[in-house]
Amino acid sequence: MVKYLFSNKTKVLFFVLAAIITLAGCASSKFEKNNTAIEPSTTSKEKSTVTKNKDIIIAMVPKSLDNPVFLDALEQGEAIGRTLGIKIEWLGSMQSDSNEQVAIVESLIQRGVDGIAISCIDPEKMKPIINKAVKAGIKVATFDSDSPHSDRLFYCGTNNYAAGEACGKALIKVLKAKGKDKQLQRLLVMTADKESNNLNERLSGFLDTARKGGITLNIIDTLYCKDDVNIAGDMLEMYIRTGEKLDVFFSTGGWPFVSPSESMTGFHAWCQNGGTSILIDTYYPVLEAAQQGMADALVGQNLKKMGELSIRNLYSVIKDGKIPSKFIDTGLELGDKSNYTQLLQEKQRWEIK
Amino acid sequence: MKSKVFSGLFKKFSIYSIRSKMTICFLALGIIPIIIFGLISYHLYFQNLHKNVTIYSGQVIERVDKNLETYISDIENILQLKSNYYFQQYLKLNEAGDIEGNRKYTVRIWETFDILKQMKTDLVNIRLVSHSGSIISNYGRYWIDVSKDPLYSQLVNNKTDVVSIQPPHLNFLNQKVFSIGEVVTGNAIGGQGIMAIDIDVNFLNKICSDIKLGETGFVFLEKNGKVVFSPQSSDKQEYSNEIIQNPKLMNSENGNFIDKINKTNYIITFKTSAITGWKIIGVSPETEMASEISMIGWVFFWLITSIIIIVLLLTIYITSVLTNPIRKLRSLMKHASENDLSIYADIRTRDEIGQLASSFNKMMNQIRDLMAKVKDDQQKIREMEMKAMQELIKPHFVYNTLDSIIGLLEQNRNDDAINLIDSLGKFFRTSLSHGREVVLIREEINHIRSYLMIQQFRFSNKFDFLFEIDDEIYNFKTLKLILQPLVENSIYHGVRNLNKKGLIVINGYLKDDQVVFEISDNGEGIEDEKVDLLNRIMAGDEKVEDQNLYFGIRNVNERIKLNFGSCYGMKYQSKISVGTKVVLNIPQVR
Repeated sequence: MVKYLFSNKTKVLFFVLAAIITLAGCASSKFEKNNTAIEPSTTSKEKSTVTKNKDIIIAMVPKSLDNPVFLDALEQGEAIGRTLGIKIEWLGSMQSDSNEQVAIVESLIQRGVDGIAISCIDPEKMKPIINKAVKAGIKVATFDSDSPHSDRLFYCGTNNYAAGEACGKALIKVLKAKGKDKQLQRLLVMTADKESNNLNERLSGFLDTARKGGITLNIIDTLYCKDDVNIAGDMLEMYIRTGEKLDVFFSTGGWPFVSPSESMTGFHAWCQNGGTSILIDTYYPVLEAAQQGMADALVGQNLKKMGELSIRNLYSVIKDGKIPSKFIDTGLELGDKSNYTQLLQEKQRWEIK
Repeated sequence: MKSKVFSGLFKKFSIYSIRSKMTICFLALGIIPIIIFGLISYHLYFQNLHKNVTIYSGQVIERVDKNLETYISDIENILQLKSNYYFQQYLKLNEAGDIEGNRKYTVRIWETFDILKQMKTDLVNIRLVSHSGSIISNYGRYWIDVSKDPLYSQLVNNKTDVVSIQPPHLNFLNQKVFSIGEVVTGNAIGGQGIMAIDIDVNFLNKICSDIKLGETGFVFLEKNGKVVFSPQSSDKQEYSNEIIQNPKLMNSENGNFIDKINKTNYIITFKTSAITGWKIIGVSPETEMASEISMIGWVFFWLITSIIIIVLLLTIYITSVLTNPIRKLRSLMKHASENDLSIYADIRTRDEIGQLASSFNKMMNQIRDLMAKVKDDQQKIREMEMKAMQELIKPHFVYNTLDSIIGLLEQNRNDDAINLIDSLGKFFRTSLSHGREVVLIREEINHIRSYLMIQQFRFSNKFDFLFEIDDEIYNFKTLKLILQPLVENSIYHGVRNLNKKGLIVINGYLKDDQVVFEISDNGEGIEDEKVDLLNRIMAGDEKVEDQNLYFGIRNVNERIKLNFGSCYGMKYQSKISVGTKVVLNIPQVR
């Protein structure tokens, strides 16, 4: 709306003024650092020594460092950053922790980075700090997981509700094929946490579509893996072995299949015995597990595209003031038993160990 | 009322009494050594405490230093990860710009950092910094301007090849940390990087605060005249800033001194850490030591007070036990002095007081005996006096004298009759002497004189008499009627039957503080055996069976001895046909 209120000349004038103010801010910051960095100090006024040089810096803040899913976004973002001649940072806590995520964004505001792309763990908790960053003149966007009520410029990622819808449609199809579409289906859900907006949208899309399609679902339990790929597989296997009997397993992410498939014999057997398993994500380990019979359908996100488009659009805003649309859709990738092999061939094996 | 009570107490505890003196002695003997011992102990304790506080502070900062050294050694070991294959590969690929090829090493480094952070919870951030300013840490990957990073500058620009420590500062997450770093040599990648570890400054608080220096003592760290770390309290930070200005601290590596801050003395003990170069400074308020001393002082005070009370009670008890018999004896003596001779000291101790009581009882027995004897003697004296009187005023003597007077009157010798009557009157008057036992020698002489005049008249001047009395003895006193029986004997047994005129001489003089009377006659004399017998009887060596035998002279002799003592009395000297002399001596009594 705003861009239509001003002429191109006015916009250029604003840009020049903004640049002057920004440079003045940088000079002031350097002066402070020069005065305080050398000697020991314990005052909170001291500024960090982390650089704020002439290069444009865009910081990407994932939910956690230990989730390899985000590595695609990091690598693609860095690659694009190099082509654009800017510096890309990747900052997050090792495990998903909304408080630490807030602290990290706070530090970025203090350092005065040029742009921030965040995958929000808790959209409501992140809203104030995003708004603060925006007020500080930092260009803020979200990727993967949005904070829709904040002042962020745009969200770059999957249409999570659509991804859920795709999963719901896949369920209907699978159950019809198995002749179980008229039966009550006991559903086990796995997600990262209660707060993540993207995951909640996926779950809503899935449940809405399935129910609209005439599937009767009874959610018997929900497992929260906190975005931790190391515990997600164990949680699922443990539930299959000791929990209530279930008919359908739905996961809003591919966490459980990052664990070696050999460690999930119970789940594998459950799938072989007619259990229906549908997950979101189509990265390599998930596709490998699906090919071994542990998933009836997969709906994938494009993390590389998220990294790429987040950086490109933020750079564009920083450099030219061009504000993209509020939502940049990175599309979906659908998989089922018919195309798992093909999809695997298109992707590279993870070599992180 | 109060004054009465106090005066009563004062009387009871009069300092002149043995009991008070003993109480004061016992108290002095009990309390003075305790007070001296207390003061010496107090002084020694204070000195020892001061020394111990200094030693303890030294040990405390030594422990802080050791803890710091151990911890930093651990961190140094962690820093050796810089040579790890994965770290080296990461640096090389990062420099080469191989993003996808570096994924494996990136993830491995993050996992390694995360494990280390979980193992050592004080670690805030572990980071590997390349010469270009690219950082990989357990918070991801970010950039810094290495030229403005103090630790990087210290290590790389100053070409330091050992571990460097950056004092407490704020890290990029605004966390208060101190950092330890080491150079990462990068031959293959061109420039030098560093590996650094940020440690939560609370670790310093932990190692400084975990070790107690009394209630309010504390430990802080200093380097180059600046406080590196001090506990959160504003007072302690203020004190720390003041203490580091002390030249003693600035000019030496280790030591201790006393610094006065806000009118309070603090014992400052310090040591320079070899590994960090920080001075570890222990601050102990002397007041805490003083409060302990004060407590000891109170303990001493109450101890001494308790001992004084115990000593006082014991003293009162002991002195009471010791002096009770004395006071009892004193009370008995007081009664005895008030003529109560019936008392008996019932004290059965075997000590000197018991012996004294026994002697007292013996003395009282003797006094009672003496009193009985005196009483008995007095009785005897009275009886003898009565008998002497009866002897003196014999009816025969009176009738004869009266017959003589009648004869003189019939012969119209009125003047002689008058003289005789006068002499008789004087004789009886002095005999009675108004009932007095003791009379002046003058009166006794006058009495004898009257008697001799009567007898001279009766015996028709058969004898003469002569008085040779020293004037100086007239005013001395003597028992009455002691000369008359002797003069009578001289008349009747001496001169009465003489063919010649008899002579009776009465001498009176002083000799050796005694009054001596000699009654001599020129009568027939007495045989020597009889003289000896008389003298033995006079000396009490010879008992007389017949009480009427020699009654007159025995009466005089016994009365003298009873009244004046056995050393006084009479003695006979006589020679046949020459005469007899009786010597009588009595004390000079005025």
